[in-house]
Amino acid sequence: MMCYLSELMHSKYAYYVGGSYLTAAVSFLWLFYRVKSSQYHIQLFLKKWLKQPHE
Amino acid sequence: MLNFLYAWGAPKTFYHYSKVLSKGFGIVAILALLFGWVWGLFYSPADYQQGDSVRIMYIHVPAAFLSLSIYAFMATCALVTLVWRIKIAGLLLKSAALVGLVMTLLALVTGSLWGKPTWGAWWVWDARLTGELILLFIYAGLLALDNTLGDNPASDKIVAIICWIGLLDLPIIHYSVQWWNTLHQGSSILVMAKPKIHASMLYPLLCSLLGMLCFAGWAILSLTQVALLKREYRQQWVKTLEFK
Repeated sequence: MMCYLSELMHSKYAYYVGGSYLTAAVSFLWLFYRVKSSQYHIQLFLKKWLKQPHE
Repeated sequence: MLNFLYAWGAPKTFYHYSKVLSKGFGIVAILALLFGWVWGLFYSPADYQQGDSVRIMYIHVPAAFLSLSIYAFMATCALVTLVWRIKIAGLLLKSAALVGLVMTLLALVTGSLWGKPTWGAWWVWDARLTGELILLFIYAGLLALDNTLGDNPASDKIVAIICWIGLLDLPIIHYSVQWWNTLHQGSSILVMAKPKIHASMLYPLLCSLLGMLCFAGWAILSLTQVALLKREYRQQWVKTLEFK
């Protein structure tokens, strides 16, 4: 695998291929963060809300 | 069918089933993405004309496919919202818009990165590319509209109607390579025909597609669960939930 990686890194298309996979990784990580942070905030809100006395 | 829709669309039922389903999607997504991307990057062969730049395909094609599929899914949710008034469908529609926007942006960026070494240009005003750019604006417009109107059932209906108007762009994008003489190539994989690409490239592509599809499914379901809790937090079934 390292041999393939080295070959790919020296290819004239390395920046285009690397850029594409990097963009995909960043997009997916951002979406993952967005989902997880919204889950965290709603859970925090609900914990507070459910502790309050309701009629 | 209708009974199934109403039963599955009940907030409490949907919340519990989607929790299990989203976990499954998440696990499959991680495995298939790792497998598909490593296979595509290191083990699939380079193209005899395009060289290593063909490896961009393993991201670009699934992202483009998902950008259209997610919109088709949103249009189905819009129909269910407007005709049968199932509120989960409205929430699914809004959650899918963000994921669709990310996929469309990814398809455009990777397409541009693939276009430069193969066509010699980052961007051309080709029918397929322009259609995809319009789709990006439609996704952004729907999200902006949702943010402006706020979270309520009335806004679900307005977003659903606008979503149906935007549906016009889908056949234009899909058939653009057949209707017009475009720089963008035609489809290599069709449901009803034999694929035009070799198995050594087809399998990592399908693996990557499965991973991205499951990731999108995980994100849509998780965002819908959050939206559902935001809207229903006063209801009795939410009070019975346990949060760690």
